[in-house]
Amino acid sequence: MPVLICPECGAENLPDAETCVVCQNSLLGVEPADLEQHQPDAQFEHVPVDQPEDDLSDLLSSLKQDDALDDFSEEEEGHRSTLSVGEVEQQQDSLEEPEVPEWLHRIRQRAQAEPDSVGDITQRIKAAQESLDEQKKEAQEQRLESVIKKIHGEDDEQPPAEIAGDEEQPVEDDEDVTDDVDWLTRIRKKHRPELAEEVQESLSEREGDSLLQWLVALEEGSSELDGAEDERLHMSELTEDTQEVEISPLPGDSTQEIDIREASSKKRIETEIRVTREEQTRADQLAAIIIDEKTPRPLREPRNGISPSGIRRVLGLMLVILLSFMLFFQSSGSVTSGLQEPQGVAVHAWAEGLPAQAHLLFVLDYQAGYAPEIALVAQPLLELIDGESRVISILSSSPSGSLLFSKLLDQTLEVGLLEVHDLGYYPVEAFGAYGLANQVRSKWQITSQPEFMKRLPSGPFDGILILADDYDGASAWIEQLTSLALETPIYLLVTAQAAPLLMPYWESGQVKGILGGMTDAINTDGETAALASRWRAYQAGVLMVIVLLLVGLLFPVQQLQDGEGGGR
Amino acid sequence: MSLYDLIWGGVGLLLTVMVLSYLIGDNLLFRLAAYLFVGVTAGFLSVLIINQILWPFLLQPLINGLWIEKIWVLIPLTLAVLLVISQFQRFKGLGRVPLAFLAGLTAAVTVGGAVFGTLIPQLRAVVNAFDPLDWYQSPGMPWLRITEAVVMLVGVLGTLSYFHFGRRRRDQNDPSEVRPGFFEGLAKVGGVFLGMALGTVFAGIFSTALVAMIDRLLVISEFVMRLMGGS
Amino acid sequence: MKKILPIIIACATGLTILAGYFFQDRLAPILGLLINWGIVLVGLAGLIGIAYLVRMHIFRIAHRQKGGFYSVIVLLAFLFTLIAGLILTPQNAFYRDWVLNIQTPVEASLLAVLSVTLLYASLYLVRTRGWTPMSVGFLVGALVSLILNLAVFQFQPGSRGEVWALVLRRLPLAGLRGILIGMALGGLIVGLRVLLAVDRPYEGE
Repeated sequence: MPVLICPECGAENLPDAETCVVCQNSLLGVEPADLEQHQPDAQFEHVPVDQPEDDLSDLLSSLKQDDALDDFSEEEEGHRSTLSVGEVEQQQDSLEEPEVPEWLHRIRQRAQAEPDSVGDITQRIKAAQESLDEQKKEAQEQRLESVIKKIHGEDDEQPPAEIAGDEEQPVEDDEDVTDDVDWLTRIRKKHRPELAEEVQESLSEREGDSLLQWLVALEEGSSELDGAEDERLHMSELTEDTQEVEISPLPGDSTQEIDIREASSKKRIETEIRVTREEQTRADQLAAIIIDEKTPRPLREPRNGISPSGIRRVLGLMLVILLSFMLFFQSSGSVTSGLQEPQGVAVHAWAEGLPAQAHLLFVLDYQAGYAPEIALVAQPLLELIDGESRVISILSSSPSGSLLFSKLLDQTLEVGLLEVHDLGYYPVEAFGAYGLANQVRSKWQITSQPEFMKRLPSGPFDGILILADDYDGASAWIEQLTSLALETPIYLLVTAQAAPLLMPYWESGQVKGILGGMTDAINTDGETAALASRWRAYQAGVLMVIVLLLVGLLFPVQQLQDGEGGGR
Repeated sequence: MSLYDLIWGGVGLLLTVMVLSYLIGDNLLFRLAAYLFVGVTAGFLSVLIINQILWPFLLQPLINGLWIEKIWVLIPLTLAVLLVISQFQRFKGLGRVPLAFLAGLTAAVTVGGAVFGTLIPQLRAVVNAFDPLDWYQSPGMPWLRITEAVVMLVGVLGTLSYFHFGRRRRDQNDPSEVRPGFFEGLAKVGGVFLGMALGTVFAGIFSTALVAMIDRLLVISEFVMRLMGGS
Repeated sequence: MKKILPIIIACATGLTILAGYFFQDRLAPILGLLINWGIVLVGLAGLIGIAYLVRMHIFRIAHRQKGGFYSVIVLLAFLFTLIAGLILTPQNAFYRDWVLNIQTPVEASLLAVLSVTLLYASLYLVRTRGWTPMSVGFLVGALVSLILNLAVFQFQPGSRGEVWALVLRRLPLAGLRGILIGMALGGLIVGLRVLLAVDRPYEGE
């Protein structure tokens, strides 16, 4: 059938019409068009939500077409307006399915237009699906409510319906809507007569309406965004824990997104919301974070013109030069010892007093990088221990422990008299210690147990020496061995970094002596010329860090930004 | 100096220089050394586990053991098989059994060690410091020991207060948290003690790192000296 | 049953081990057995971890990802060390030198780099932290410890100076003991949560 298509709004008019039924634009001179030729699938073209967003002009034109939309029942339209985003997407996907046969297409069209045209079974399935969808939606809403309540810490005394009723009472003032373009108003009247009549509308309906307004705003160039300043969140019916808040646009907010509500141009929305104090606090915090994030900050100027990595390089170079000077250009002399601490003296006293046929257990819990320091501590002691009929067993809880110890023995004792048994590697210190302590105190054995299961020695030992590079490993051994009431004395040969945290174990009597690091080795061992250059270099390095600590006091205190510098 | 020593000395020197080049900045040499280290360590650990754990504890008794020994090995073998096949997505759930065994074992050893190995002895040491007999063991300075005992008690309580976990909010609407008044005061004192403890640990770590630096410089110099025919 | 069985195993194992602290004489052989099984599983877990590492590097090479060259280094080093170790055994002198002459320089040099970083940190300690009780304590603790490490002061045994030096040395002990007790309390709580099945790490929670 030929029709006249309005050039202004795109609406279809009867061939003999003089003005457009929608926009009253004159149709004089407009050529009639055959609808069936040009729009073979008109019904689908009229579905606004099904259109891709990149074709907004056509979409808006189709929105304005009253007559064609009459094919759809009001019921269908109402349902469509309340579609959720997901449902819209689903429908869009289904409509965009490629290569649907024409006959199937027509059947679908018919089924949409005339509910009676589908069979009984199909109708029932559809009804069941709708019912299921409703149930799902309700369940989702209930879940959402409960989650919100949990977050707010509210109790469940208030029935959900009441809460919903209290919290959401949107009132829409339609006074300013008159400024909207006429055709849009008519579209609204045509498709949503309730919009013009009803003062209140449901949230979902508002969303649908807002989507429409947003599209219109886009079409019109988004020029009318000045109504945002009037937007208020107005509160009424204040209770004990609620108060009035006013949310104004944030300063510096330069977002390019078009707000749906703002797009309603001069339409003033007054919404009543109840906000608890806690909610307000959180909202304030959020707002503060957003403002803080968007606040422009000046780039930090480099301090004194030297970057931190530059200072680090300079310090590194200074340290290397200083140490090299002390190592290679200082005349080596004898080393004088400083403070002899009782825990170090105890180790030497014990080693000197060992019986001729002593059986010792060495626990090795140090990595290769710490081997030089451990060697400094252990070498004098090994020389004391070395004896013809003495036996040492080694048990390692670090992978390279036994290799390092065998190398240490090679370096220390040129002709070692010691008999050495390697008891193997125990990957977890605590397991090894627990197993060892149990083995020592066991009064019976599982006779049929394989021999290798009894790898841990049953002692008795004249002493256990733990060689450790850090606190963790050593403390695991100490804890297990002492908690299982092992009476064998425990001595620690550790690095300087492990010694401080292990001191309480000596203080409490759980270990009988500690030698920690180079200082203890030098102080306890007395004057050793062999270590002279090394010791002087060490002193120079320590002196350098003392000086830097003191020089650091001269700098003014710098206030840290939040989150800078780690956990204060 | 034999060729063998020369080669290993050269390797050590090269790796030292490569890693120390990190002082200038992250670079190719440093990464090369680091990745080589990772490969060697992983390989060595694998050898160690196979040689010293899996072979003697699992494989040897299965191959060479008596039937009674094989029975004893069945349980760890089952747990091991479950752990291995649980790495396949389809049998992921089977890994729960060996992991539960390990978790139970580790947790119990941790609890036992913490209670009997640290908590009880350390708390006892704090209390024992107030033993009058102990004060007079070292003649001439009993007041010093009393002071020490008091300082120790205050320091331990203060440090624990500093880490007090049971903080409560000052007000329901005030997001800042605060300790109860008594703990707040102790925590301030504890902060000083904690700072001193951390300062001592800092000094210890620096000493260890310094010894490592000195050792590296010595290794480099010794290698160069030997290469030049020195002692 | 799928969920209950691991809980039962974890609790039973844990309680048996805990009982060992009280009835050590009677339970010792059983406890040793459990510990040995645990060591086997830990070892195997380590091997699985290494397998994942190797797989990741093979993946990087196969897909020509960034850093593929380093992965080649890792794999070559890994394979050589593994094969040599299995053939020669770790006790072999060459194998020991191979492992230690790579591990020691790299680890020790990393520590040496750390010394420079600590020097830098010491320079900016108060500047960044400000004057707080803790930073003052830190400064005092570090300075006292470092000065005593210098061993420039000579003390006669039993002299008043030595006594005071020892008191100064022991001053940080209170804080150290507090840290130790705090860590033990933390370990206790975590362990109990696992034993009481409040936390179930074996379920991937």
